Amino acid sequence: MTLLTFAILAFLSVLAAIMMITARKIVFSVFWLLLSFFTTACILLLLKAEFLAVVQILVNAGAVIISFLFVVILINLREEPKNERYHQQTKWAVLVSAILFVLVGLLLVPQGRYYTSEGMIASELVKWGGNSELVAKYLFSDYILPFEVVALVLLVAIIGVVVLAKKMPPKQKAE
Amino acid sequence: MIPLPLYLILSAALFIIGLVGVLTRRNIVIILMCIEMMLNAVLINLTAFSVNGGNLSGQIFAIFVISISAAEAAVGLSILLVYYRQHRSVKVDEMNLMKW
Repeated sequence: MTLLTFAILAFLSVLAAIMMITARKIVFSVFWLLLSFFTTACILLLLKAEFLAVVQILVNAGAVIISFLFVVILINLREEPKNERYHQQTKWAVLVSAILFVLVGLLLVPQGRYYTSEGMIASELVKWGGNSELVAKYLFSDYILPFEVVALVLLVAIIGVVVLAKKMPPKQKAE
Repeated sequence: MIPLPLYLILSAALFIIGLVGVLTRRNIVIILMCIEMMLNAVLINLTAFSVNGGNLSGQIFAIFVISISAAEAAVGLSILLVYYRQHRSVKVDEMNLMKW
């Protein structure tokens, strides 16, 4: 049953990804990406990572998709004919990516057999009460420095976006 | 319990599809979305290893990946808007300002 759920979710996710890179209009692409984010959140739920699933829906499926939609509205794109949609190197890119996929599969999948123990997280989950509590405990004790650094990165990103989005003064525009 | 290799295959497939999108599409909005999708695949990979390996560090780093990807999307989209305001185009192969 769990395997069937996973199979459906994986199929939907890959389908959404393929439709996203081949869609005719950019708005459709954005909505396929939204579907892909939602299926990813469901897969995270299957993995019993509830906190990450909620963060995925809030941040990726919420904020990032909305900002993409705003950009699509603002730049007012027309529908692109097929020869304008793809580069000339499409064939080679697909070929090289397929080879890369086979290589990654051959290298990564045999590694997966060594990781089958769930014991440590399960026992700690019982002790702390849930996935979110456990994540919070690690985030605010062992990983407090990376947490602060990420907060700084987000602050820099906010300031950078404000500076970039500001209209240029007319003196510079005239040059 | 789903075996770990299935998750790895799924995330590798998503990553490669995102890579194909980055390499083949000419529209910068799509390229940015494909980068988001690649980071999404990384997210699945990190969480699957974390849950199956019995170590929570993977999930913590997945949270960092989400926040960095959000910052990346915001900065990338605002650069795109500034570029579009000046050049009225979002084709990636027409960007040759720094070509010598």
